[in-house]
Amino acid sequence: MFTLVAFTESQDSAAITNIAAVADPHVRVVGDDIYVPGALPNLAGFHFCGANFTQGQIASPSLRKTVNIDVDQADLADEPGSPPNFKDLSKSPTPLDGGEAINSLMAEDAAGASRVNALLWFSDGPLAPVTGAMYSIRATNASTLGANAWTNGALTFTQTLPKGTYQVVGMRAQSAGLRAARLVFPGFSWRPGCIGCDADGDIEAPAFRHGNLGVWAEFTHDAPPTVDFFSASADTAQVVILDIIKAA
Amino acid sequence: MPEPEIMICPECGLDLTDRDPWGHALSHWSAILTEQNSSYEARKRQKKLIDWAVEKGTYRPPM
Repeated sequence: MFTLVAFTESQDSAAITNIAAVADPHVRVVGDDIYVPGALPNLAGFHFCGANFTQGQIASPSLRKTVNIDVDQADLADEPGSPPNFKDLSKSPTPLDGGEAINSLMAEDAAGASRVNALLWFSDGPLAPVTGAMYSIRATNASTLGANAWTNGALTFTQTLPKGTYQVVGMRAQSAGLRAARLVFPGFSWRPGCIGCDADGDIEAPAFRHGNLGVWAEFTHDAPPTVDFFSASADTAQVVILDIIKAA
Repeated sequence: MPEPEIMICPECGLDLTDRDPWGHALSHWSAILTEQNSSYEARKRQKKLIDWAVEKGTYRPPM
């Protein structure tokens, strides 16, 4: 079980400094702080990007007891690369304290201000891969996204799912400026998601496909998930591929 | 005489001069966009590609 949160800010700082948390309806957000959900007290992965990124850090009170996590790998663009520079901690996540505030810090070397972005994944523990008969189904969304914020949109599936219950075990999401996307399941607290792609030829991080992060959540054919998109631009054409296992 | 319009996809910025604008539109959106399943901006951008496809004679309306 895991969930995805984001930070983004246009800043002008050569030294690492807090960047703003993205407003989020499913976790508590106060300014630069995101409160780690009590049920998901582990850092299962992170991704940083920014055209002028120079260094980054993930900081929280519990991490400080040892050391905050220094980040040197990032995609040097305002959007994730292909493949993206994803730090996968899912098999051995870093423990946090549930309920504490966590921050993403970054520095940049632009002549003026430049935008930096961070994605963090929280999990309830190590995420074990799953196996089974997996199928990929395409869905689209044509909402106009708000730039640098989560925008929720419903999915239009290109095929009709037979009646039943489905486990989501992977995801690819794409739009012109997409940084990340996450699924919103009816009645489920968490919003598991992936790094976004911006072109058909983009290579996604393998962790997000075909069961590598376990079962994300389940849905029935008549109550499919919606999607939160986090984009750099006001895109209107979103394409999502879900990897699914028919559970019942 | 006005210069001919350059066919740049309003969604992703791809140069469509030597491509099929309708085929490209289908890579972004489903064939039929309605007020229920899309934003005004999405329909406006798709319409632009349809107009270019009609101009090129490549538009195949959805059945």
